[in-house]
Amino acid sequence: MRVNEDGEETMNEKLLLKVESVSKNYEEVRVLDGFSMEAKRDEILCIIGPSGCGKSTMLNIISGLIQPTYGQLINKSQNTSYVFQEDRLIPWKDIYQNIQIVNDESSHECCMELIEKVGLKGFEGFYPHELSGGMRQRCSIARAFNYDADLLLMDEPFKSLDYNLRIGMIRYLLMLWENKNKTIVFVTHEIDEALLLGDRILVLSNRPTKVVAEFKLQEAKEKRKLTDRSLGIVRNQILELLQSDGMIAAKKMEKAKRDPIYA
Amino acid sequence: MKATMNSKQHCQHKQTYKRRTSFIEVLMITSVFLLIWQALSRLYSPLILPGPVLTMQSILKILQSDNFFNELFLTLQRLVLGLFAAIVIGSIMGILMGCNQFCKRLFEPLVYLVQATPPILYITMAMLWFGLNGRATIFIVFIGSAPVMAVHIKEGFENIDGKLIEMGKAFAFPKSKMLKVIMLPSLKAYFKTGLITVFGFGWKLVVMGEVLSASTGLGAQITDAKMNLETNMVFAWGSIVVLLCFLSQKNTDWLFACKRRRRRNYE
Repeated sequence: MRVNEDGEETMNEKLLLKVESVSKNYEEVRVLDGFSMEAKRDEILCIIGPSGCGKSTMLNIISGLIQPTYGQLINKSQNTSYVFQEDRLIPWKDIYQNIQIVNDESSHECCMELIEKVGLKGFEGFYPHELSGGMRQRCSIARAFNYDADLLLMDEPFKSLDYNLRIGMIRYLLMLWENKNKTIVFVTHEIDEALLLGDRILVLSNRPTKVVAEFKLQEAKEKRKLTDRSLGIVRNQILELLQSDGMIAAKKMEKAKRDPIYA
Repeated sequence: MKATMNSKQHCQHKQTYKRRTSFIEVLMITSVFLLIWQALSRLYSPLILPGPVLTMQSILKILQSDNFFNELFLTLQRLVLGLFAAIVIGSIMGILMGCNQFCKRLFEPLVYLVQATPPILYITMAMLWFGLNGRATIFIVFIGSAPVMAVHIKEGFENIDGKLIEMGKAFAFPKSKMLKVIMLPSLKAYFKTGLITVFGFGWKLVVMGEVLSASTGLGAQITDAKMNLETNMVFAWGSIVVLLCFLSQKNTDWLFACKRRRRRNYE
């Protein structure tokens, strides 16, 4: 398909992050092998894949914590914020200090507002060990939002929480995200999380990791066209992709695409 | 509100669990110990094993004498000087070893070598180098304690939570902030145990050094008592030293425990 210059320009402007055939070896184990993906500005990109397929490694590469063995990474974001699998709060700082610490310029009001938004009002002076797992994870999300960044990486942040709490956390997350211009790359292995959050969902295969399918839900979500039924179908498709060998399932998907069920 | 209550209850529960040994328990243990001591002292002459009453009388005699505080002051002076140098230099060595791989490779064998050498060798050497005055004692306290401190701090660095460091890196903490917010507070517990161990070492070494190489201080008094075959005085001086060592260790513990975190109000 041809894209005229104008179109390309807007595409480039929208592009925030581009991972181009990145590979990463840990000694002899090749975790990522020629992996590519993109993220646009102000979208929530969910990446879903079987455990051990290198999702965390990829996030670490994007955030610059580790260097890829081969490949190229274009990161146009000013700053990158991170929510880890565990809360990683500083045990000797209280909730307020933990949130404030990542951004020296953040005002008192800003911190208090974040604390209120994640439902931790009244707990500012508590230490992490005095709070429950869900509260700690909310604090770590508030911390990530306090850091002045346009790209937010989340690495299975709700892994240790129960189902109800997860849904609640996703609500908090969407509420925080609404007013700020932030791109979120959200890695998970829970389909429901991805469906609730994602504007776009990438499904990854087992190692060697490849993108086997991409679901675009944004338009449908904006037009409120996403019915329970179509969500259910997408859910089943993702499930099938994850359960079977990714590549075979992807071929099946090609056939299924003739009958567009979403949007 | 409910959560606040729960957390308070939780804290109270912790406190009752971690309560101190009660006064009655201490009394019981002490009296049993004293009874056994008394019984044993009946079997032997006071020259071999003076009883608790005699020891107590000797302690009182020492406390009443004029030179006690002079001797105590001299010993404390040596101890403080030696320990201060050991803590400062040991900590610096530990921090260097923790922060820098090159320093670690350079200093680690040295520190272990110094630690492995028996203190009696140092005393012999120190007596030759510094003569039979207090300086040899200060040197022994220093050389015996500094490597202990260094090893503790180094261990502390090695046990810093890598995940917290990674968090700091992800949020682009500058090095100074990383050190202040994550690394140094992580080291606190190791510094504390290091301090307690070093205090114990310091007292033993200072007395040993004085017994062997000095004519003043608490240790020298023990030597004098031994020369005069006054076993009760040896016991009395010994008890004083043990008590002082115990108190200084206990105080360190208390000093750190005292700074309990207070909840701040941000409203």
